[in-house]
Amino acid sequence: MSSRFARRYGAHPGHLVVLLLCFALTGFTVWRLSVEADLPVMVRIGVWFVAVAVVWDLVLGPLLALADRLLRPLARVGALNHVRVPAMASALLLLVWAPAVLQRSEGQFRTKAGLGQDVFLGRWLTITAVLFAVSALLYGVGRLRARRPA
Amino acid sequence: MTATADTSPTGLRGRVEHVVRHGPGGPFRERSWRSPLRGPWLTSVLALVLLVGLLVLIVTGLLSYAAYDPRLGGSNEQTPGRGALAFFLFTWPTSPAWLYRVNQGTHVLLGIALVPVVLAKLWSVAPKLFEWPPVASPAKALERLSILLIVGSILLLMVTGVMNVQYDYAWGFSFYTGHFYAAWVFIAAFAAHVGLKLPVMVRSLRSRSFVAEMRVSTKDTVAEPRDADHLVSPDPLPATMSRRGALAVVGGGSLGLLALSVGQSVDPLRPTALLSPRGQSYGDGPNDFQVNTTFGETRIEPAETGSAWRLTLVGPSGTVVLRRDELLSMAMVSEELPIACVEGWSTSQRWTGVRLRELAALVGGADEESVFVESLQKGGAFSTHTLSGRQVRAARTLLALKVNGVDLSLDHGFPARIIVPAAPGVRNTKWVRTLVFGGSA
Repeated sequence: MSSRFARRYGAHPGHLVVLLLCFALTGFTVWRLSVEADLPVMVRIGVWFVAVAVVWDLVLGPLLALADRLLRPLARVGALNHVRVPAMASALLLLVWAPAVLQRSEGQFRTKAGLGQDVFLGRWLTITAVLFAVSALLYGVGRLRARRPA
Repeated sequence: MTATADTSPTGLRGRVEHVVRHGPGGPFRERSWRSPLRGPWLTSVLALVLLVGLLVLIVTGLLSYAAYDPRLGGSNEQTPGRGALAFFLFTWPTSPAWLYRVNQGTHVLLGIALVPVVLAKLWSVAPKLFEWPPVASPAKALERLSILLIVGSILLLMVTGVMNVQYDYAWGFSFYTGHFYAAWVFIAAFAAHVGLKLPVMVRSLRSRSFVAEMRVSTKDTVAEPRDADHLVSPDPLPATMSRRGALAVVGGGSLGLLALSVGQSVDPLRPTALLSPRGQSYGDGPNDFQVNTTFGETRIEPAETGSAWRLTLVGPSGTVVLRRDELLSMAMVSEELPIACVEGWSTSQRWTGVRLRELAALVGGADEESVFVESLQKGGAFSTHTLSGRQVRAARTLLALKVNGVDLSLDHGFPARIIVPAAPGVRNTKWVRTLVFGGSA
């Protein structure tokens, strides 16, 4: 009985039970949301829900993979990670702090916190420059050591 | 694609059959995934970090929700449709005073620090997104649907959280609504994912020693043995980074984000929070600390806060109206208490004012189960708010008139503001004009 189920379904019955519980709770959550939110709000939340996954999986992810592939020739001179690591760190900081760095919410920030966002772009650029400079220094030291006979 | 191939039925059928059997090419070809690092062990290391970290985020998130005492209604209740999703609610305590500060600082700082781990985990399983055939069985189809739920919800939680702490409200829905309901979808999908994948994670982690793996150089790094889940590349390139290096990059990203953010929650470290909006200094005067609603935003007429200002107390035994100098002549107490925002930043200051329970006693309201606080603010989501009876009776709950020895500044709520120990910052209503003991929204 159970093996016939497994052949048809593709996994053991527990697998189905777990997923049905997951969808039941998700359905309940969407229903509760619909109690308080009107249709446009629900649509916007749904669009954001799908959009963030699509943007990461199908846009940002592939773009980052492509950028990484373009950097590959640097491996021949042993510099790949010396560029890749600070670039990833800098991109991560921009990804997280983009609203501040790009001054996307200057108006809100000014009225709510009484502060401006004009300092953040300079700070991000400075951190990026320091990361690349330290990485270049480490690369240079490594090259010098490699050239000098032990 | 040529016209002849398209019009010939056998050609078209052949082509369709080929695509159905082998996939449309590109990323759907297993051989196009060539990183030698992808494999069940690396994915499981990241999964273990997330398993622990995300559990902490779920607990601190649900506690943060409870900290608003949503059952009191009005502005306490930001998600009125919650129903049984808020089954766990309890009356929020008033001690220790650092409770909300630590809870919310942990939630936001850990959430930010886990961003690179989540992204690395998604990278590590990316080939699964392009698996061919996309649905090999009903089980696979349902599981993929649950994966969409977990990926969509965790990214939405990250995006709304990170944008909210930077005042970027571009979504067209309330942060509370989006973050709360996405959290419940995430909890559902996360629980199912852990339930289905925990054995694979444990087995994969046991497949090699973490300590030994941390000693393998890039030169000696080779792909893991092929696995049933097809994470391992069938045609890996030579490694350009060891697994140790990859984990160091991810962990370094987390620690870097943490180091650049922790200052928003720890007063002496504030200048180190270089990219966090709450790292900026206001100066070093007694009123120079973080503001989250400036006086200018409230549209209160400055004259309303001057000599014409009166505090109205309403309770079972009647109404009492007090001038500010009458309040100042009451028994003054000073308390060192934090303001801790849902956005994760916090700051501890020394507040001086009248105990709220003494004001309650003036109108016979000391035993009431709530106090409805009205601000001079015109509009605004939190211009009125309700505190619980527990908060009214707490010895350290103040109607503060001064901070750090001087009058409150207009931005910090002059003539008078509420300060409640252990509660979210937004519950400390500023520019208070009326307190209705026993009242609610």
